[in-house]
Formats: sequence, C-alpha cells, structure tokens
Amino acid sequence: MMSAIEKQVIQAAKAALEVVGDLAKLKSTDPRAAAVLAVIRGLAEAVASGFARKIDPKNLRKTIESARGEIRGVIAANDAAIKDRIDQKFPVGEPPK
Amino acid sequence: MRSHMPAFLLYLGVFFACIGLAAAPAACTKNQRVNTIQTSLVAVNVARDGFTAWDLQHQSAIVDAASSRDEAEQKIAAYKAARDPVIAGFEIAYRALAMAATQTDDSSLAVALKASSDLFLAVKQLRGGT
Repeated sequence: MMSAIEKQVIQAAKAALEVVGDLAKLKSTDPRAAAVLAVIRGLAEAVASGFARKIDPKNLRKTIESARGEIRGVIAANDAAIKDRIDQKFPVGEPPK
Repeated sequence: MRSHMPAFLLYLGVFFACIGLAAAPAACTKNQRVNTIQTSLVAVNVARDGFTAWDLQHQSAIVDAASSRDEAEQKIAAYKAARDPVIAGFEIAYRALAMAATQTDDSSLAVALKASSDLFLAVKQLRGGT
C-alpha cells in the first residue's frame, strides 16, 4: 500500500508530465529543447513509476555520495567540450574569423 | 535561442522539495524520514541534471557570441566564477542529505532540506543574473 508521500510524489510527477507535454508543443522546433525534454520525460516518468521508492534505505548514503560525485564529472566534461569549441572556433596562431 | 527546459527542471526540483518539506512533520516516523530524504535527493538530482544541461548550453552560447578567443575566454572565466558557488551548493546539499540519512534527529533533516532549498535559489539566481 502506498504511503501519503508516495501518492503525493506520483501526483506531482503526473502534473509535471502534463506541463512537459505543453512545453513540448511550444518548443518542438528547437532540437536542443527536444533533447532536454527527453531527459525531463525520463526523469519525471522515473519518479512517477516509483523511482524514489526503489532507493534502498540501507544504501541511501552511498546513493547520495554517488550522486554528489556525478556533478563534478559532468561539469568537467562540459568545460572540456567548451575548451574544444573555443579551440575550434579560434585556432591558436590564426587571426580571428 | 535559450531553452526554458532547464528552468523547468529547477521548478520541478523545487516542487518536489516542497513536497518533501510538507511531508516532514516535527517528529516523523523512520519511513517518513527516509521518504523525505529520498524525495529531496530526487529533487536535487533533477536540479543537477537541469543545471548541467543548461551549463553546457550557456557556455556554448557565450563562445558562439564571442568575436575573439580573448573575449570567449574572459567571458567563460567570468561565468565560471559565478558558477562556483552553485556547484558548492550542490556539494553542501548532497553532504547534508548524506548526513541526514545516517542520523535520526529532526535538526539534521531540517538542515538537509534547507540546503536543498538554498541550492535551488542559488541556481535560479545564477540563471537570472546571466
């Protein structure tokens, strides 16, 4: 049987999915928005399907530490991609385009 | 064109965090406590994914708009300086949640929820200030 909080999370996720659906119509022409939307849908659906309840309470701390480590890794990857983008647009030793 | 999707992720995160706050009475049961921490963790993760997606998009836009290497590097450096406190905010929120996960007192849970709320505000401010 679902607890009150679980029902609330699922209701919130359903409401969020409806908003996502509206945004998808508004932004369907932007490919980047479509990519981000796919991520949002995945996350919202994961929550709606009870993702939050599947985290083992015994491993909660480990799960949190793992999630914490991810942000540094993603930010480092972003920064590396931007460095490549700068190098590509403004090659060293060549005059600006 | 700036997408509104990462902002939506933040609102979603705040929404779930509010649910977590509403579901955390002064003396909640062990299960309610775990549920609250899990909900907050999902909210912070959603905010993190929204923020990192926006971060790449925003930095790319800065480079695209720059007319010289120097300009691009300077503006990226200025953005990174503004971004640092937000990344620190994620660390604080995760650390507070991890702490709350190993304790049973109300204050550690309240600290974790406040750290999450502060983080959402910091991200919102960074987006608003750029």
